[in-house]
Amino acid sequence: MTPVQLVFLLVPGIGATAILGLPSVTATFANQDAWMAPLAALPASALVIWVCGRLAARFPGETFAEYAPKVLGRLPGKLCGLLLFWYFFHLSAAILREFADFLVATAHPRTPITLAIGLAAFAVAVAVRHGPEVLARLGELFTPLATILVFVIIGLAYSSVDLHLLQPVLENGWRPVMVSGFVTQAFMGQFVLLLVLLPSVQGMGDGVKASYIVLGIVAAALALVSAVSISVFGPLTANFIWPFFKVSRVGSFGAVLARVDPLVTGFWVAGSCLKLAVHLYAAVITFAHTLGVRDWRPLVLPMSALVAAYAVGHLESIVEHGYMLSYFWAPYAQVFQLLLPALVLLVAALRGKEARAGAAR
Amino acid sequence: MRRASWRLPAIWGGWESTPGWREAWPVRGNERCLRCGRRGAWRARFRDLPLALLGLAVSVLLSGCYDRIELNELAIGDLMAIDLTEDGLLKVSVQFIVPSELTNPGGVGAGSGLRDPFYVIDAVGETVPEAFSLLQAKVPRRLFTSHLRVIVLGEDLARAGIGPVFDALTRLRELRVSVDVIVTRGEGATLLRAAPRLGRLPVGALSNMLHQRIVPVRTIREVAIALASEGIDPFIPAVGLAPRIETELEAGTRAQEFELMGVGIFRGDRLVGFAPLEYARGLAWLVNEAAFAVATIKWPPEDGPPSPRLEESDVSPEEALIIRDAPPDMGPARLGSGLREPGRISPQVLRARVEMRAEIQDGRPVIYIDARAIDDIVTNQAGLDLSDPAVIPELERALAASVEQRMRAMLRLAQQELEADVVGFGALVRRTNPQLWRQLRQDWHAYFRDLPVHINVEVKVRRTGLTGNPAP
Repeated sequence: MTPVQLVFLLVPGIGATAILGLPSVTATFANQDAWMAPLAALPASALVIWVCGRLAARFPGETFAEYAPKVLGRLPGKLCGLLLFWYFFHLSAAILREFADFLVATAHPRTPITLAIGLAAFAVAVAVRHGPEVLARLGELFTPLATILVFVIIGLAYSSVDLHLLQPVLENGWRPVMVSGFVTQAFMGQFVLLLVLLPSVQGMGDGVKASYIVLGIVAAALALVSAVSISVFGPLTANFIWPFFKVSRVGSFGAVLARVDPLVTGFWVAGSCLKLAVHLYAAVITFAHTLGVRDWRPLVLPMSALVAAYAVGHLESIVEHGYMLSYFWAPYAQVFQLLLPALVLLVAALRGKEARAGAAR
Repeated sequence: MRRASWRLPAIWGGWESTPGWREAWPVRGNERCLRCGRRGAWRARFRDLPLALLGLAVSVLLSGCYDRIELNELAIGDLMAIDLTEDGLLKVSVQFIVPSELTNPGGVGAGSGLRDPFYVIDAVGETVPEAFSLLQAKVPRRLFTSHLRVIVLGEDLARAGIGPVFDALTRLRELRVSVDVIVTRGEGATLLRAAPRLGRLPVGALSNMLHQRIVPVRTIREVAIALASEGIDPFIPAVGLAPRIETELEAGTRAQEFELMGVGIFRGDRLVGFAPLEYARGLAWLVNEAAFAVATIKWPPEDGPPSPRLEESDVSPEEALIIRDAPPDMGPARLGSGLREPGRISPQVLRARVEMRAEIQDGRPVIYIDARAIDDIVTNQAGLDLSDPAVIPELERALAASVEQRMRAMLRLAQQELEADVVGFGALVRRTNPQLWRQLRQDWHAYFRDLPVHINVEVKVRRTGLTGNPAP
């Protein structure tokens, strides 16, 4: 895949679920300053990209699970691979659950969540079997349309926007912003995907550069969407589970164009499935490379079934899901997104490990 | 030229699986065929087109919805009233559309005209959703609230507190938060009995009336924000019923029209009083939603600052009821008392913009309001020569004074009488100086009572209707 395709893949691959749900989570901590959270999370997220880029530069063409044993030794390396696999697996399940929760809560109240989860998992598995290039193509198809939709929603909601609701800025100082930035970092740190994706990108340096661009786009989009949600709903933002969806229900352009929320639901399905696909791919690749399986494709369907089962079973309700995202996920994700790759990079640097020149594929 | 391939598409084992097809095909890559001019790759690229079309057709034509509900299985509510009963329960009344009465299969016009295209059902429950579910027992189709356009809150409920109801209104999946909210004096359900002459559905008339912007309109979203915000109290437009003069044909029918009565003023989530229409227009200025208002001034202007006046004789019995909470010596002059002496001039506001800021003076907040308006003179009964540019500045000053007087009247009602910060001065102070606000917010309402407000109005008369000189 080309660096441009990486951009189109990673924008939904990281921003898709965050765009609807995140403003609510950050507003819980930072109220009207929540729009600054993505900006506060920028440095740490850039660090994630930098770490992944350095690792990829040391071991060109190899994924994390392949070089971790070379760096840390056989057993600890495999263990790290499994840990990363667990992260991708858990995150896939969380994405799937978030996707299905939204669908069931807003559009299909009487549909069993298992059905929504199962169908999505199957469709995604079929897509993942075709490899990352096909996912990137889907990203190219989806991302421009979704971007247009976001701007249409903001344009329609324009008459309801009251910028006064963003004031007072920093009412309680920087602390709440930093806390919500930490929560946001759990989303934006999903750039750890690069550990798996960078080997498939033509031109390593350009791939990393593209990732920084994606980071900028995602942060700007999240900040914009948060700011719009807050300036439309003010202190209610934290109460809604998906504030931007509510925003899409507010806007109208006279009697001509209004109630675009079914479109949001549609794009949510596409976007979350794409995000799920990227993470499922990462999970399968990491698993296969850790255990030394030669062909990863047969693993996709069983893995997606496991993810679906975990998504159905690991949470009782949407309340638990929201609580997990707000209070548990942020520190938990840091372990895998930043600490794990950083540890491997550190050891690799100390032991002077890198793939011999010319040995790369 | 090679004949069009008769073989099956690739997916059905067609020409790709035929041995030697690649050699037989004369054109490779993107070269142009010398004989027919076609590009080879073009053909290759689209060889799976039939399959793609099939997939598309299947997903578009054969897909269904797990939760589908057909339109004719829905009871579509368009207007809802929520009241508090004497036992402290909620009575929810919903007006449903009867679609078959809206259209006339026979031909001309809409509806048979024999029966109303709507009917009202109510149910009593402890919460709004519970009342909904009890309502469902009386309606043969599934209740559908996505198309509600206006929600009426009864006076008893409003006085008891609207907070709990607003939880349901923002939580329910089907309800949109862009629905307009109104309050009414007395029972809200009575409003559902109106049968306005203009329009088939009462809610259409009501909604249109609200959006004439005579008084500021409030949606669920805006009220909920005011309820959740510090330093701002909500207000909700008040609508009542007005009897219609019946023609002979209509005698005996329900002839009731909607009428805007002003705004209901809340403190916290409780209704504390109604501001009549004249005051409500002052409120429209204060919240920067003044539009197309006509406000008459006397000419020549009286000496000194104009004092608001509301004479007992000017007030109709219904209105006297509504402004019970306001002292009789407040309020701007009403229209129509004497045509010539003193003369009257009516401007119409074309554009208005109001900006507010809070300043801290000696550790205490002071509010400054800057209003700018562009007016059109629509009536000149004072014999003023409007074609004389020298007259205009004086006129503008008088118009500005009348606008200020309107705002002052509303402020006096809000500050001294009702102690309800409907304009959001508290929120303004909070935006300006969060530290000071933290000290003040505990007893803001007491402080708000004596909050100094400076008003500066600038009016520009840009047009004088279609006439320059006054009519003889």
